[in-house]
Amino acid sequence: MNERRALSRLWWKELRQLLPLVTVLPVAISLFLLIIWLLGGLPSGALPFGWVALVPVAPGLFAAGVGALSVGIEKEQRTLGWLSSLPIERRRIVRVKLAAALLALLALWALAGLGLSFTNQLGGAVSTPELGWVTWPLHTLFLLFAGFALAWWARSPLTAMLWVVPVATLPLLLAQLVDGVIRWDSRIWSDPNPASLIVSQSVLILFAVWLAHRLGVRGLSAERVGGQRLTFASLGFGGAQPPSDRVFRDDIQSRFAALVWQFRSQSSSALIGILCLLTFGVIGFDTTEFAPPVLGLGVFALIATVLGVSWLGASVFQGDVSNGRIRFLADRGISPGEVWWTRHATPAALLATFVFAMLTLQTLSHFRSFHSYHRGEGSFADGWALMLTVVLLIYFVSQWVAQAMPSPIMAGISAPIASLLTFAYGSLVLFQFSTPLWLAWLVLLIPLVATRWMTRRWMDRQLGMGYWQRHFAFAMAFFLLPLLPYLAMVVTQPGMPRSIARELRAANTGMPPSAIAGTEPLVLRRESPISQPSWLGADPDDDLEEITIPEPVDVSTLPSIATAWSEDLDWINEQLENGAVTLEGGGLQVTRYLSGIATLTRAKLDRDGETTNSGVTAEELATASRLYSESIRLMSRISVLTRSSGRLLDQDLADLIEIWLLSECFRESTRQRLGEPLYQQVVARLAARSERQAARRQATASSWVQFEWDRRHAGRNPPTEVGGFNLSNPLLIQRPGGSLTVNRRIGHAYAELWRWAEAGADGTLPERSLVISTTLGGRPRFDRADDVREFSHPGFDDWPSPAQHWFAGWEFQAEELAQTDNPPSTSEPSPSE
Amino acid sequence: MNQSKPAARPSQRSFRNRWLARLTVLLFGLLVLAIGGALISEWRAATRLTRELASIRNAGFPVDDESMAQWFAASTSTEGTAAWAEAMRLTTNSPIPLTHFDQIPHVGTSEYTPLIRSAEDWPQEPLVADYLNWMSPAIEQMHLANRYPKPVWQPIEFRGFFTQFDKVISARALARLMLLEVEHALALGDADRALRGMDSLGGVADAFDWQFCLVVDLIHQALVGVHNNMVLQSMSTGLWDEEHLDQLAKLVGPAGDWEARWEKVISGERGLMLALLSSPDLAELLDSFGNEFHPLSQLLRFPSQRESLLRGYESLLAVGKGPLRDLRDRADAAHRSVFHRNRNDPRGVFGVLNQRPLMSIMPATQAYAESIQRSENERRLAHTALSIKRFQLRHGRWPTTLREIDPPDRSDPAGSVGPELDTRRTLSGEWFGYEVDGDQAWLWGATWRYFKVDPNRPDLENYEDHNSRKWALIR
Repeated sequence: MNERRALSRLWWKELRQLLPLVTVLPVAISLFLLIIWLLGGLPSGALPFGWVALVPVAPGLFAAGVGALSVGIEKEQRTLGWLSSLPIERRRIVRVKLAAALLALLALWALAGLGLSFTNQLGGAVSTPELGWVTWPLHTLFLLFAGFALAWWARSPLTAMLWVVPVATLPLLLAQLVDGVIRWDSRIWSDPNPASLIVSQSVLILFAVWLAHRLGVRGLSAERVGGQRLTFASLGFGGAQPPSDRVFRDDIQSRFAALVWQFRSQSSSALIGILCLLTFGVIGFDTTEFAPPVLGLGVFALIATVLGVSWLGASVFQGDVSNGRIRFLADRGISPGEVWWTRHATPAALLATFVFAMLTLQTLSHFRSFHSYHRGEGSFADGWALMLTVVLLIYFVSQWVAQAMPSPIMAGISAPIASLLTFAYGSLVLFQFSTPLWLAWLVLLIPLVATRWMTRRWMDRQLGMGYWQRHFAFAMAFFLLPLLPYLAMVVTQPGMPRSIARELRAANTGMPPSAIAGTEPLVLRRESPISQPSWLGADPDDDLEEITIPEPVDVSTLPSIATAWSEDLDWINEQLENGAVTLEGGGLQVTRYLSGIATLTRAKLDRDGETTNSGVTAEELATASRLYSESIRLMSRISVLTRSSGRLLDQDLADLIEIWLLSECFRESTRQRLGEPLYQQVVARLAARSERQAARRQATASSWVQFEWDRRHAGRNPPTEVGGFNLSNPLLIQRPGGSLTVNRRIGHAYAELWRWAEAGADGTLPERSLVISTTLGGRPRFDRADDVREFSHPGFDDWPSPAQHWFAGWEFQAEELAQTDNPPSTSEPSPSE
Repeated sequence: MNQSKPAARPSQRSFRNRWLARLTVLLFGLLVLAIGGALISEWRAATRLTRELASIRNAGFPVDDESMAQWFAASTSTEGTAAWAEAMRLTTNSPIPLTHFDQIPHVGTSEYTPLIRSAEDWPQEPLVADYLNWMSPAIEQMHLANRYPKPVWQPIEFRGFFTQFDKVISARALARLMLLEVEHALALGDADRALRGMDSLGGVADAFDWQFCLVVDLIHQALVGVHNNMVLQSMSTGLWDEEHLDQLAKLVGPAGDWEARWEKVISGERGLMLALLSSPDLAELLDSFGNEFHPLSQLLRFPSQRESLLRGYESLLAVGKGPLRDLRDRADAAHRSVFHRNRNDPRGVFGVLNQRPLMSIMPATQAYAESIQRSENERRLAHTALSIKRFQLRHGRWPTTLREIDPPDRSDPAGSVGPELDTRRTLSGEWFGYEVDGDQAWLWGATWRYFKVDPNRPDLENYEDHNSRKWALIR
């Protein structure tokens, strides 16, 4: 093999070695972002601001892990000797390794750039270029070379990865030092000077390159004798001294204890490193409670905790995989149960110590907290359950990854990523799919069951298809079980039956609602007395005229109350005469105003008996009488307008108006005050049950068709109302998983509404009303106008609930009244109405 | 040769390993025990909860919607129901023409003046008179309704926290209209009409003194505050003689039974909460408050959590017992014990952990306690203003200090000029502010924010200053 061919093969080998990491990281980050996006449930496609910063995390993670991967695999598979034997200079081998890693890093940066521009286009989530866009790539470069140097230097890849964490802070510390010395800046924990940071990074990069190269060349040299290495023999498992002599003697200790001791011995350096990380985590978190917060300390503590717990989980099975140690135990018939328990004993004890330390220090911190607002108060209780759950989740998932992954290095890199992905997924199912807490906690135990179940195959190294299939089955259970309640809900939640959907579409034969009801809103006054301030949208450029103070009114020029009422009634009449009006907007205000005038004038007429005693003038009484009949006429006219509307909400408003009119008609003097023609018209209108039902039917159908159209064209921003009714709060939560059930629920409620509209009074069922009102109207209302004489009319302060008064007693009372009074048969409003 | 090796001495390390193994087993054993213990604890909590609910019901307090309705009916009268309903119907939609809206105070948006104006100084008076003329059926209906026993029952459909309080909210419209009526009467110097209006204004507060939950009682306190403030403001008109003052003192009334009120209101709150918990649609109902309430619906299914909730209400009920002066402090302490760490809690940290999720649905009573204290301070201030005026009518001069009114060592043969001495001080024992200014006198109470009596009298030119406390200019 000539040198050139060997070099090209070496390049190929290196790139193939890095491929899993280069693939896994972007996929994992994309998955994470996808889950975050789904969690946010934002109406637009934008990612929540800040999360997009995760995109450049992939190159960072790669840089931190690539050294351990590239060099660790060689050490693990004992191929360093083979590499040395190639007809290539050692320094060229080292350079190829570094160059391949650099190439992969560049590829990842290119991918990250693409990702950033993509997310930028989606929602403008990335701010303008900042210093971080320069220092972070430099930092990844430093991490890459430092990672290689550490991997060549350390005996175990996990140790190398552990060392990467503190080493990663060196550029920052150096920059702080430079700042401290040069500028004598006492603000040691403030952001370092950008120039200092870039210079520090550059210097350290050069140093790391030199070190990685030098240590690599040394690493490829013949292995030196001397120095204590963690080998089988040093643990007492090799050579002439059988382990039974050292460990398994019953008179010394139990098998269980011996296995625990063996685990601890073989993983001691890794465990010490992890313990350091966790200690830093505890101190870091609690320092923020006891002292002024130090810049970035909380973030470093969080990273240390996540990595520490995750690698603690990974250490459960990885120590035994290295150098095939587990075969020793398997060959000697150690039971899988013993192995599983003894592998967990030490990490679990460390984890328990960590959790107790965190809880104890946090508890103490609230007695002597630095933050006065925390002191003596129970903010400790805020997150303990969450902290415990997250720590256990990371630990459980990591030990699972460690058992499932044959390579300790890949497990060391994948375990924290898999844990975080699982955490994100857990949040998703809890908050978006409403998984019960008890089920979530139960599912949390699946990784433990999986590793216990698979320990026999793992010990025997039966890593064939069956092994992966079983792990895959457990993973499916782990990820799908939390969705079961949601799936059950989807299956059991009735929706809109197809037959009814067809009926609704067929029934929507009328003109579009807007063509019937008009486009101009019915309003109380001709013009706004106060001009629109700019901050409400009048003129955004004219800041000086934010609020326009109205001109002082000359009180003496204002008309009397009665005259003002008359003018207002004329204006309302004028709008109604013009025809093209809708009740959307100020409709409720107008009905409130009219009903108020009618109620007051009627009360005045009732009290004064339409006589001129008690100081009331004849003119005043005549005015009251005229105002009363005019407001009743206009209310009746508005009820006609609302009935012709295709909005469901207007039908219910029409109910309220008609109930109010009916209660007026039940009064003794109303007939006389209104005059026979108007009274007969109003009563006939109220008695027209079949027309009312047809109007409701038509409005129900057209509202549904409109809703379906809105839904089809809304994309991720679904409609928030149906037929003018706001959907209730839980339905408005735009959960990705919820949209299906939400649609089914809305469909079901609407189908019930249609069935009711079709069935008439016979279809009145309390449970039906409840379903409709809780789905379409939010808070249900339960009072129905079964007897207008007893019914306390709510007035027109608020919109009614959907179908609140459909087919209630008032409709029959209106019919009876019409029959008693024998009104004309026609119910069409006359032109004058 | 088979030669057995000498047994090695157990080393310190092997001892530690054995200990570690046993510790691990112990830890898992403890976990199993903890789960078992939790289940037993929940079962016992469920038993206790059933007993406790039965005892609450036996004590006559509500535990669900049905008992809430019965409780409400038992503490109200139906005689005036129709009359007050008609008054609300007439008033709620009082239609002010929009052109007049910013000209009429109280019911419209016209600004108040610090002192009640005479008709001559009130340019909008004719408009107000015109409006009140058209509203006279509503005003007369209120006067009529005021004759009936109070508080008055109104149809309310109790649905736990979803109970609609629209009736009591409508009462505010009644009070606003009556305020306008009284102010107009005072502006015209019509003492009898003003007194009748004040009587009905107090009647509105009494009619809706339902005491079944915090919101309703806070509205009641506000209505009482409006009434007492109008008494204070009316003192600047110089309209009152001794007979009027007696009637006004009667309207302001004696101190209420705050302990009983507190117990009723918190028991009512508890009833609403228990009604919510007994609803089959608990999760859906809590969801409708917002997504953040979703986990609560799961937590509240645990009997221990429900029991914690009842414990919380017990702490709140205990707040009402004791001097009114310390009510706010006791509410603060209860709030801390319910929502935060209680160092004296024998259950320690874990007891607190149980209660933590419930804080979002427990009522915050500090503001309520403060409103009760403020209300009592205002009542005392109103009585003091009346006493000062009575003193001036009897002696032809203003008292030099508040101590001069009814000194303990001298009794006035014409009778007391005011109620007991305490009513001239705030609940914290501080004397109200008092100053004689020529032919008029100033009286002022503690500031709203700090509960302290400022040494300086209110500056009527300074909106912030004269709105930060209650005061009276007595003429």
